[in-house]
Amino acid sequence: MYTRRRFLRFPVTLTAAAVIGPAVLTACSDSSAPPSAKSGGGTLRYGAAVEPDSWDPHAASTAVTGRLLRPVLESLVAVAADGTVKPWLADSWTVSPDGLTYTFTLRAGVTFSDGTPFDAAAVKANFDHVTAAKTASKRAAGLLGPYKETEVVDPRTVAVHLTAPHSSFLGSVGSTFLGFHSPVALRDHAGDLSSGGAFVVGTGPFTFESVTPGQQAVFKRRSDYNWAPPTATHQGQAKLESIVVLLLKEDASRVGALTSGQVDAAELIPANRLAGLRGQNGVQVVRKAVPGVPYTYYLNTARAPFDDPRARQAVRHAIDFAGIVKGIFQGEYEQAWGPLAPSTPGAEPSFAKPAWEYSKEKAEKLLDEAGWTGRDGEGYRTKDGKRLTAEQPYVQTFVSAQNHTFDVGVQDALKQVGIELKLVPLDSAGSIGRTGKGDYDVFAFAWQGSDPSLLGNLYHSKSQFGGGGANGSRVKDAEIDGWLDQAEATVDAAQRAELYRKVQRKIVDQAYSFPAYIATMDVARHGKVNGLLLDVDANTDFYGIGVA
Amino acid sequence: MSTVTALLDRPAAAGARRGALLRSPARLAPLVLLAAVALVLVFPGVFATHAPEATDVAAALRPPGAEHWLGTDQLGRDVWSRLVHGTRLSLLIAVGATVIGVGGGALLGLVAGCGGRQVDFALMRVVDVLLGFPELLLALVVVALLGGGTVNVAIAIGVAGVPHYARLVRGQARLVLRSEYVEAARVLGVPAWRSVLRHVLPNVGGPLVVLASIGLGSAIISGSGLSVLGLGPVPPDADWGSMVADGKDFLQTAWWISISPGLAVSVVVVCTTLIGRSLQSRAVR
Repeated sequence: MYTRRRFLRFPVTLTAAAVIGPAVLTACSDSSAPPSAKSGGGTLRYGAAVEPDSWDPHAASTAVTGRLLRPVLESLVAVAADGTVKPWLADSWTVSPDGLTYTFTLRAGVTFSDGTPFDAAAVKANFDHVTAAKTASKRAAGLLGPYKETEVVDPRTVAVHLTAPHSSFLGSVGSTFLGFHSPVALRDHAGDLSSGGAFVVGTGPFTFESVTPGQQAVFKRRSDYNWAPPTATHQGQAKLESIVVLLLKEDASRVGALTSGQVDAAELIPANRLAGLRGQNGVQVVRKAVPGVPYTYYLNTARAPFDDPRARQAVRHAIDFAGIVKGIFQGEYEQAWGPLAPSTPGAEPSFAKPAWEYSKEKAEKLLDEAGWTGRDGEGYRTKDGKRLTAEQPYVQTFVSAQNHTFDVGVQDALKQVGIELKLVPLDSAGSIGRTGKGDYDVFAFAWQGSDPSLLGNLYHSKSQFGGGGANGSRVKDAEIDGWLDQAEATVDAAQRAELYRKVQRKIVDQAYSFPAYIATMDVARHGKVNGLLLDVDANTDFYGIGVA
Repeated sequence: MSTVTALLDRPAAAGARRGALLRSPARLAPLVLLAAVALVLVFPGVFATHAPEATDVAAALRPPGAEHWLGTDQLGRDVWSRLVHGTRLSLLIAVGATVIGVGGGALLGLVAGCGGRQVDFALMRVVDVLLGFPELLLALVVVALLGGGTVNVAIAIGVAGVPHYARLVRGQARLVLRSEYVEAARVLGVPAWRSVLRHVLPNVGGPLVVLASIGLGSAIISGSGLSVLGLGPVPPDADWGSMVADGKDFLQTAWWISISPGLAVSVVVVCTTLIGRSLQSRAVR
């Protein structure tokens, strides 16, 4: 059993794997993706980083589903880069004074690629599909919010009724996740939508030809397309004949596919590869800060030690965020200051600039004031003989390597001022159990989105973990609750924006949470690709892209 | 297995060539290297130039040089000092795992070998099934059940090694039990448990040590492998595997973060395997 061969081979191969593991994986995944499309000829070969969990945006949870299906499935409205809402498949709309009914007048002459006309009945069929229990929507139903029903007033007029005011509704219907399938596809192939390919039929400038799971997805131009939104850079049919999306999950293989010319463009380039890519002939990087909530540390304000604002502020002062960001992301990313990334519509503008300072002295002083004056044998602070210690549970599979390294940097920064941060690896179920009970001191995560209403899910007292929300700091702040409720109910855009800004200022003022860095979506392209822009969600806009 | 069972026919061989190991330089080198590693393990503070977990973001990703002999990682931690301090956890996991594997295997093997036919059959079928899984997969299953962390990784690798050791011990035990001197002891009225302790165990010990010394190498590999996957020691503790994982995104830009611990694993594994192999060939000769 223990032959000479076995013993010699085992250690050697595994050691090699231990040293050059990622490179080996890279090579494997490279060869598994077939170079199916020929270069040029109006075809864009695009390296995507994540495989959708479902190709039906109504059901999917992955952001990439919305990103890749935007060329196929269109929405009632388009959201411009500044967050304003423009007409698209709806020419115009009205909102009832109570904020419960949105009435859309639909654009005439729009058809699905299977020939079905786009009308009020199609809107109703889609929204009913999103909210059907059978769809088990992970994202889209949440965007619709307190949806009651869709009423077909006439073929070109549709009214959406809500059970409660939902001020982010209009922006949400601009999302691909509330894009429109052909009602015929919904009727005949509802069970097949998730697998993608020709089952997914929309009104967009491209049709979804085929998908090979784990490898690629192919999209073809639709010649009679003529209803691009005003946010688009041109009108009429798309510039590309076809799009071939290669699914390249490993960072190294995606970057390798780009440098070897196997793809014309690739998304989500890791920060430490950007400098090297920029130097390569003809490669350019298109970047945009990802809107939403940055990777943020939430301090549990419901129990000691972080129920004391001085302890929270001390932690914030103690961490050299800028230095850690620079080390991990090679100077490519910026430190974040506010609860929302500055690229998010509705982000408080003052938090584009420093909102606190890095000062170990201030941290030490605040901790002294909070009564943590003793020191134990390991140099940690104590109060009444009890060590100043905090636990941060995390789920390894959900935390990227960079964010985990960030946590380790924070751990050492806190040690330097006498706070012990214990990183506690858990499985998903264990983590949900701990957070649901509030049994943690620090929790960290990011949340993508392009509307300030996501603050409600993170800071409203009713949005606790375990109750469907993600109030990581377990904030119960009556003032914040009031502002959030008012913002949700108001239909006045200016008033709504001001309310959300107040919420953001209070969060920073109380140090309920603090963000780490602003992630950016970096899409690298070869010189022959032109017109590559990123939309409000920092997603690639395929419609305007041309290939020389 | 057959090579190792051959040992039993020459119970006196083990002692006869003691010393041969030290005479050949090829055999001496791994011993010297391992002795050096052991020194580092016991006195890491003497060899380290910095605190292993101390970050210094101003000095992030420095290449190897006078101040940082093996460079720094993305948080500015000194790779050499982390390597030195990581020795202890890397080897403790491996040694712990081997002890668990040998202990568990010896117990299981002795019970199967010296127990009745039915006990033997039942235990060995369980062992057969476990042997059907690759060791690392078995270890992953155990980690999935227990969760990650230093101690659990050691237990996982140890448990995964138990079937191999159990097979060996069981085979040896049956052979010894059938030998003439045990027969003689039984005729003289020596109780069975006494025979097991006085005759079976010492004769099983030799091949077990050989197998364990070779198995130590694969335990280091498995431990590092699980750490690379992020299942090993929790920061700020670090072993060589977690250091490799730390640097895997920087192979193109800062190769020194992963290469140094990777080389350390290779060197130690080659040394322990060489020693194990020479023990083995000496015993078989």
